[in-house]
Amino acid sequence: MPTVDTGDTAWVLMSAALVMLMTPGLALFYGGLVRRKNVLSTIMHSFFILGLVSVTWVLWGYTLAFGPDTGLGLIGGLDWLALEGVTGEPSDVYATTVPHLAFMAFQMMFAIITPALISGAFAERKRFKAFVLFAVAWSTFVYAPIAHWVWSPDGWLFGLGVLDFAGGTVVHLSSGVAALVAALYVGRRTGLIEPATEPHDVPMTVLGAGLLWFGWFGFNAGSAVGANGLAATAFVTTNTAAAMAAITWVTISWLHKGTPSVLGAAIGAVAGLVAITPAAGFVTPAASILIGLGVGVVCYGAAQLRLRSRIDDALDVFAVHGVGGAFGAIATGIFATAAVGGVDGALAGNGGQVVTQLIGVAVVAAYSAAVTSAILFLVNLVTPIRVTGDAEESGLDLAQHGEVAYQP
Amino acid sequence: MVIAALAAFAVLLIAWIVAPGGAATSATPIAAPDAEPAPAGA
Repeated sequence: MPTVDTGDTAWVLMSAALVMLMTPGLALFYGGLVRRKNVLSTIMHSFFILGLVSVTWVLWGYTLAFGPDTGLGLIGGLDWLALEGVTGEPSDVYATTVPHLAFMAFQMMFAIITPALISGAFAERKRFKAFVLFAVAWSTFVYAPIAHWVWSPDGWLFGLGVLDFAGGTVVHLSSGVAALVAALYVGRRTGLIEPATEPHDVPMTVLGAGLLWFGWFGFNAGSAVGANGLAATAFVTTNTAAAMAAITWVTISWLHKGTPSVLGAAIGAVAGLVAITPAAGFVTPAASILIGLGVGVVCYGAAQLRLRSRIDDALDVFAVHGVGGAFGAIATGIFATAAVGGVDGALAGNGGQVVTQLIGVAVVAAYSAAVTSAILFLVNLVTPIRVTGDAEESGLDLAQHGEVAYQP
Repeated sequence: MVIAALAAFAVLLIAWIVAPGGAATSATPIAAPDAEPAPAGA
């Protein structure tokens, strides 16, 4: 019979609170990047999801993602609908030294931030009510199944051996691909001549990035679900990769454009955090430096390619979370060492792990793209996803929410 | 209790579907919209 460990419980509850803070942090990160007429709507997309997915996760999200498998490793059953049977006693399966409710709450925060990440791709032109319906459907039909496949011991990708310590595929790749699909489906912003718009408040974005970095310690080190050496390893690899990616991105932009970009430091740090997420509990601190370097280069390149395209992924969600998540998942297969997380990667002689990781990346990307497309199509039948041209011109803060962020 | 909780959420979901989709244009603009800015330099 599992028993509660007070130290582990304290760390998991604290980590849940840290991850919760990431969603308001994301709201500020995205809010600063958009034009001033759309800052409130952009913040609202994340903040409302904090409430929305908290409720859906309690009602049906948790049982679909982590409930006892229905037989094929595809989805959890309804045994824990509205958290029936999920109590202050530990689960027999998950985090067996903390109350089951604490583990559930920790996972809830991941489920909240994932659809919020998508919102940046079609920022500045989507209707709020359409996004609410999209978020309910997406967290139910995309996030919950993928979380089950990868993190449930009965999940089919888990059984295949796919490694994802804290959500490189479940959170970042799934949302990044969905973001690309959403940007393509909704189309470019009206009157957008240049490939991007100037952020209206860079300090707000840097503050958001700082909160994300802080909260990410809960995201990754908390995924050890215990106050132990693995958590400490994940803490250090997380910080190291973020730091390396930030200084790499700044250096590249400095050489490329002639100035060391403050915005680049913030975006680079987030890219590093994304890439280390699947690897944090499987690699050494030295490997995390290489992961940070690699993702800084790759995601910077992806963002530049996006600027040259006709794709209006407004806040580069795919370039950072989609590409960064895939890069991190593959890097996990390369750099993993049994001395840290019990599994060797290619550099330790287990080349097959890279193949397994590639399968995981391909499956998650394809599923997210397909189901996200279907959800967007169905939501658009209920209510147009895109606002009118007049609303886009006057700004979503006023047109959708009847408020403005800054008085003249 | 589970059914009641699900029903409570269903009421909100229906409300979101039938709620106004936002004013298409504002009759009383509070702030002028931004001019199209220059490209970002991340």
